[in-house]
Order: sequence, then C-alpha cells, then structure tokens
Amino acid sequence: MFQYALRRLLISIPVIALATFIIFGAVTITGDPLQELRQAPNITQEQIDQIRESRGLDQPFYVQYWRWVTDIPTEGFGDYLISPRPIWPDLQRVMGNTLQLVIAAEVLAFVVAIALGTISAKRQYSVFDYATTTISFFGYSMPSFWFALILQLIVVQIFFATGVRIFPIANLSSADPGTGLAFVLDRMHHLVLPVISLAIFSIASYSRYMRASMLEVINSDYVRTARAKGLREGKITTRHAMRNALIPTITVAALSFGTLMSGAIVIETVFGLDGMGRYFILQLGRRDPYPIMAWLTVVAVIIVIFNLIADLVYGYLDPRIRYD
Amino acid sequence: MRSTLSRPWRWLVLLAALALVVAACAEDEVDEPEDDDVDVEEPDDDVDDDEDEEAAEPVEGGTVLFGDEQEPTILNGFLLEGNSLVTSKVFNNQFLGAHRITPDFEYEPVLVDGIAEITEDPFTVTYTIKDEAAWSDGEPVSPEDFVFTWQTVIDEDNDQMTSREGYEDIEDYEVVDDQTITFEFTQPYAPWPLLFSNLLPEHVLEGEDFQAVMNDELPDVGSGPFLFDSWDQGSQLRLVANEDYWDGDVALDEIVMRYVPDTTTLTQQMRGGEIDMYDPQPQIELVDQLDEVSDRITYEVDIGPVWEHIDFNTLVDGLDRDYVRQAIALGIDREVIVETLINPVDPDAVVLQNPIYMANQDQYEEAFADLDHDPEAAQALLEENGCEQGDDGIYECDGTRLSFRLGTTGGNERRELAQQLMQSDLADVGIEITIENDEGAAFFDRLNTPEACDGICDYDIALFAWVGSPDPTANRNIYGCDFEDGEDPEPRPQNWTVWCDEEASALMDEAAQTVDPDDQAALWNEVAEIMSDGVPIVPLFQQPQLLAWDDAITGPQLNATNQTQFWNSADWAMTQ
Repeated sequence: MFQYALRRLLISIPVIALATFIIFGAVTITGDPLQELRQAPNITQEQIDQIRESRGLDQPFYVQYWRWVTDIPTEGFGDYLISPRPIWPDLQRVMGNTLQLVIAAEVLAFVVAIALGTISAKRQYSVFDYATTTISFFGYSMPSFWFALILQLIVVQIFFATGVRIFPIANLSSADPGTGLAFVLDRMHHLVLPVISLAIFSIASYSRYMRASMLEVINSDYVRTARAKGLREGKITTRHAMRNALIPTITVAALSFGTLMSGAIVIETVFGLDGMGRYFILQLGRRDPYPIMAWLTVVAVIIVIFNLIADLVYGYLDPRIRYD
Repeated sequence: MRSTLSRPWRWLVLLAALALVVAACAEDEVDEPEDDDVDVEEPDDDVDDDEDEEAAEPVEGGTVLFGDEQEPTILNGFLLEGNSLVTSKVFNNQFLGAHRITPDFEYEPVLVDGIAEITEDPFTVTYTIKDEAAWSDGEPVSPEDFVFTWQTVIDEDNDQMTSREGYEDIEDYEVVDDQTITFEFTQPYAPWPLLFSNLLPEHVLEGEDFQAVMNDELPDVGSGPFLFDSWDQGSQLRLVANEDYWDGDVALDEIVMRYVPDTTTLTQQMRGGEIDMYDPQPQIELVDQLDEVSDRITYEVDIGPVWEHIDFNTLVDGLDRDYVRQAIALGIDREVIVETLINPVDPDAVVLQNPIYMANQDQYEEAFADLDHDPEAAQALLEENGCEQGDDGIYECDGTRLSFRLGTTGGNERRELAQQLMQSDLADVGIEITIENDEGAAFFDRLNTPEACDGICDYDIALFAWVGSPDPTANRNIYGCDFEDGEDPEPRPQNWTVWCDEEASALMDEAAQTVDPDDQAALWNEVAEIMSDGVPIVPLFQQPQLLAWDDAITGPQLNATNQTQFWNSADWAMTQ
C-alpha cells in the first residue's frame, strides 16, 4: 500500500505542474494585473512602466512562470505582486477557516445522510422513502445561494418578530468573540447557517448513495443468511448491512471533502466567511497571478491527497481491493 | 462494534443541544439593545417627554460596528495598494491632514489654523499649525512633521508611492516658528489644498521602512480621533478612541469595521441589527428594504463623486468624426436614464452636464446642456454631413455604416440597463449599437492608450465611471495630450479616448498652475465647453451614495466625497 501511495503521489507531481503552467498562462495572458493602477488618479506612465519592469511583467509568461516555480522552494509562495506582503500567511488563514466550515458541514451531512439513506432503504417505497427522495432532489437542484439567503431572511424575520437574534447571518466571529471556550462557542454559533447551507447538498447526495448501496446489501445472500440464523434485525442492519453499504458513501465523501476544501465560493461570499473560495474570487478580481497560483497549487495538492485517501480508505474497508 | 446507527444520532442530538446553548447565549448578548429599541418604539407610559429627550442625548462609550463590502489590502494610504477608499476609512481616522473635504466639496482646515496662505510669485504655501494640535502621545504637531511627510513622499526609494504630484514641485521650505512652515514651489500648483491630506508623525516613523511599517498595522500614535488597534484580516478591523484627542473628547470607545463582501448580506445584517452602520452602493430594492425598518434605521442618499459616462474611441472608423459623436450624444435621452435608474434611489439626482465638475460643486456649469436629447437634431447633423440612411434605417457616412459596439463591466445591473436604454434611443436615430461586455473588471483590459494596446484599442464606446475630486487637475491625464512640434500628439496615460485638442490641453496645463480658485474654475469650464464640441465623452450621471445608521447613533453625516463617511467620526456618539 505504501508503494502504491508513493507512486500515486509521484504521478501527481507532473499533473500539478501542468495544471499550474496552464493556469499561469491563462491568468497572465487574459488579464492585466496593473489595470486597477492605470485607473488611479495621477498615476504616471513612468510609474506603471517601472512596476511592470520591476515585477517582470514585461517578460513572456513562461519566463514569469519559471521565475515563480524557482522561487517556491526559497520564498514559499512569495509576495503579492504590488504590495510587499507574503501570500502564505493569508492562505494558511483562509485554509483553516474553510477547514472548520467543511469539517462541520461534512460531519453533519454524513451523519444525516447515513440515517436518511438507511431508513429509506429499509422502508423502501414507504412515505418516508418518497419524502426523502423528494427532499433529496430538492437539495440537489436548489441553488445554494438562494437557500443561504432564505436562511438569512428567516433569521432576520424572527429578529423582527421576537427581538431575538437566533444565529448571526454573516462573519466567522462576533466583534468581541472572547477566548477559549467562549471563542469556540461563538465560532460554532456563527457557523450554524453556513454549515446547514453547505451540508444540504451533501446530504442530498450522500443519502442517495447510501440508499442505493443499502438496498443492494440488504438483498444480498449474507444478509439473508444472517436473518436465517435468527439475528435481530437491528444487529443485521448495523453490523452487517450498514458497514458494507458505507463503502461507496465514504469514498464519495472523501472525494467531496477535497473538492469542498477548494472553497465553497458561494457560501463563503454570502455569509462573508474568510475562506478559500472568497480568497480565490478576491484575487481573481485583482488579477494578481501569484496568490492565484499559490491557491491553485494548494488546492491541487489537497485534491490529490484526498483522492488518494479515498482510494486507500476504499481498500481498507473492502479487503477484496488490492493495490498493485 | 456497537450500534453504528446510534452514533450519528448521538452527534445530532449533541449538535442540537450545543446550538440551543449558543442561541441562548446569543439572546443574552442582544437583549440589552433590543430592550432599548423597544423603548424607542413604544415609550413606557410612565416615562414623560423630558425623560424621552434625555434618553436621546449622546452618552459616553459604546462601539459602532461598520459593515463594509471591501477590505483594505494594506493600511498605508500613501502607497499604491492603499490607494482606496477602504484604506482611507482607516487611515484618515488616525492621521488627519492640513485640510479635509466637507460634504459640499469644500476644503476645511483641520490641523492648520485657517486655510493655508499662499503667494503666487514665487508660489509658496504657508501652514500655521493650530496651537492645540497634538499627537496622541502628547507631542505637538510640528513643522518637522510636514517636512517628514514631504520627504517621505518624494523619496525615490519609496517606489510604491501612489503619487508625488505637487510634492515634487516643492524646492525649498522655511520653518518660520514652532507652528509655521512655508513651502516654496518651482511652479504654481493649483491643487495645493490636497497636499498633506494626511500628516505623518516624524518622531514615530523616522528611520522606519515606510513601505513595510504600515502594511498590516498602524503605529499607536496618531493625530485623529481614532487609533488602530487590531486587524483580523478577512474579518474585521478595530479602531479605538484616541483618549488624548486634541480636538475634544471622543464619545465612542471603538469603531469595528466588519468585512462582508456581499451587499445583500450586509443589508440583512443592518436590518437585523448585526451592524450599526454601512455605506453600500444604493440600489432600488436596497432602499426599499431599509424603508421597511425606518423606525430603527436612518439613511441619507446624495449624489457622490463617482460619475458614469460613455467614452468614445476616437480612432475607430466613424467615431473619429466629431459630428458622429455629437449625433450619438444628441440621440441619447440622458434624462430618461436618470429618471429610470437614479431617481428611484435619489429623487434629486440630475443629468451630469460637465465632465470636470460635479453637479454639487459651486464651480459646476452645464457645459453639455446643448447635447440634451434631440433625435431630430442628431439626424439633421448626420444628413448635413452627407450621411444617408440605409434600407435597414442605419446611417452610412462616407462608406462607414454607423454601427458600434457599446461595452461595459458585465454583471453591473445599472450599467446594463443604461446600455439598453442607449441602444434603443440610438436605434431610433439610425445608429446601431451592439452590446459587448466583459465580465466585471476584465472589461478594463480593453481600455488603454494606443501605445499600450499596440494600435487601436479593442473598444468602440465604453460605459464606465471615474471618481471626481474637488480639484480637477487630475483630468489633465484623462483628456490631455502632449503636443510636440512636427509630431503626432501623444495622449496622456489615461486618455483612452485618444481625443487630442491642442487648445483644451493648453488650457488644462494652464489651469493646473492657476491657484486662484475662480480663475482655475473658469479655465476648466472652458475646457468643458471645448469638450462639449469635440465630445470625446458624454457624461451621464453621478452615482448616488448612501449612508445608513442605527438610530442609536448620533452624529453621522453622509460625505459623498472621497473623504469617506468617517470624515466626522469624532462627532459620533451612542444615544443609549
């Protein structure tokens, strides 16, 4: 397994390198990072030319790319194009925030989806099953920004009606969040609405996977054998059926986790959360290629790692899978 | 393994319980202001009128949460990355200047005793510092601070400096006494009141790396009513009251800037009492939403310095002729655009008739009024110049069919609606407009000088905005050209229309060195008149600005100039 993982990681390196090259080319060719400066009052052409030259923007994009690549080992991800501030601390910060959001949303989604999927499968064609199916498709098709806005409106309407603010509708923390446990509780309080908004799609998705695989498992021979041996239905479900039915759902969840770490752009924007998605959109608007490249590299690495984890977990849960 | 099904449910129950606990905590947090709000809406019968008035009196202390869509990149307002209104909101609170700009676009002395005195030959500016003006650490504001600020700006090592204009013209100075300094310039510099708009403390910043020291934080010494305290990047920035403010007591304890990039969310936060104040781009539905809570929230709307216009690329075939540009201007019903897009938000807004001065400035003259909507005049003008209408109703002039692309920043609803109105108006005249937008700021990649574009830039007509200033000197860069004998005129860096008029350029340069405000205004209005003939651009309207605040705060006043809404933050106070 170790050799397999190592081989997968090594294969990922040229993939990431190619992705960064293409994105660097796309960003530098399609946008002028000094555009905002050119609109500034009193800016002179000499100033613009000086910045362009000093930052190497007058060089072909592949020269700029090579400079960026060779700077990574010595300078991390370097500084922003115009302001002399390092990029890495900002990326660390937004990664941490997104991680909190994604972990909470995925845990919630996983727990709810497994419950819904299992009960739906056990009670196939019941009212509960139909209701869950309907709600799942609703969750699939509903734009997340719309659902987020509706949640915000509900909270504001409750505030109008009762004077009680149940949940904050934006930001990661209060103005004075306190320290220790108070800070943690404040953060959880602020994450409730974003987590629900982010989890709703995952719940819809995972519960469908869970239902399908559960249906397959509960009709399999070994489950029938367990019943014939007189095991209790609850034990059959939890110990024999669910354990195997979870395999595809866990794989999907692991893949999804990596993708979500690239940032739930819409949710982070609507709720004003300082996460990976919002950071990417902000830097894209500024046309600064260096933070965009840093972001892309980090996201590519995360996705590669979580894809690998998904494969390894799959093999761990299903011993029939062997790695060559 | 025990029942795996029960574990998720246990987690769910735990999460729900936690949420309830947190919600209960939140109720405690908001109870106090809510009770106060109820008091305002439904006064207790036992409370008499006098007590009500007493309750509305400003009190000491309190925190204002100011919601903002944008966050500063760095905090140093002198550097390129800090050249933004969001940085000014922080920087201007801590570092006052010689003068500030009031809501009516006038200069007002701040650190100096009366507007600075000037002489014309040689051109000198004398600043007399107020007796009481002092830094928060007790050091008096001194002439050395002026010298330090000047030297910092012109220091070549500070290559990130936004602009050295004006400061570069200073060739000498004389410290007259402890409170007076005179700067001598190599030539008259008309926008001199804009110099030293933030004064730096020499005794704090001397010897520091100016391009690094104020990126992520500001020093704990300032001359303004509030001082920088902390910045949780991506989330909020905290300013605390300057307890030793030289110009009186500051009532508030703190101002916390809360950064949320979405206007809709900010509006809901304002309605829900999560923030106390914000200044979003006003849209019709936003104003409606604020009206619904008019019992708790006050807002002001006024036309601001950001003004929309269309620019013609005068190198494009067809648009290189004055009469075509004039016909387009005459064909657009700017009145209807304002009535449709701006008046629902600001009923007092009018068509902007001058590309140099804003409608709320004293110097404003209606230079472009001759180009008010007149489709018949537009058609007559085209026909006088030999243009003929084709079978499809579109005019053709000397073999050029009058069909142009009109582009703007896609996704901006107001601009897209304005485009559609203009397209319809011009179709009635016989000029075809096709809309060609780029998403967001990508549109601006098309706009540049021919030198930068390596030929004719890829746009015909562009709809976008500039930011006006009390002093119009920066317009030299936008509408001016340099004329050398025997050579083609060279458009200046922001002259993206490539309209070059020798007389107008000469007047702009003369105005830049004319320090008498009336003479200067006369010259710039002459430029505006010439522009109304040459029509490199058509001004449309000033964007309205909005400032909304909770009624629990007293003192805010909309300042639609680039001085920002914090121009009078020293006067803000809580009333409950």
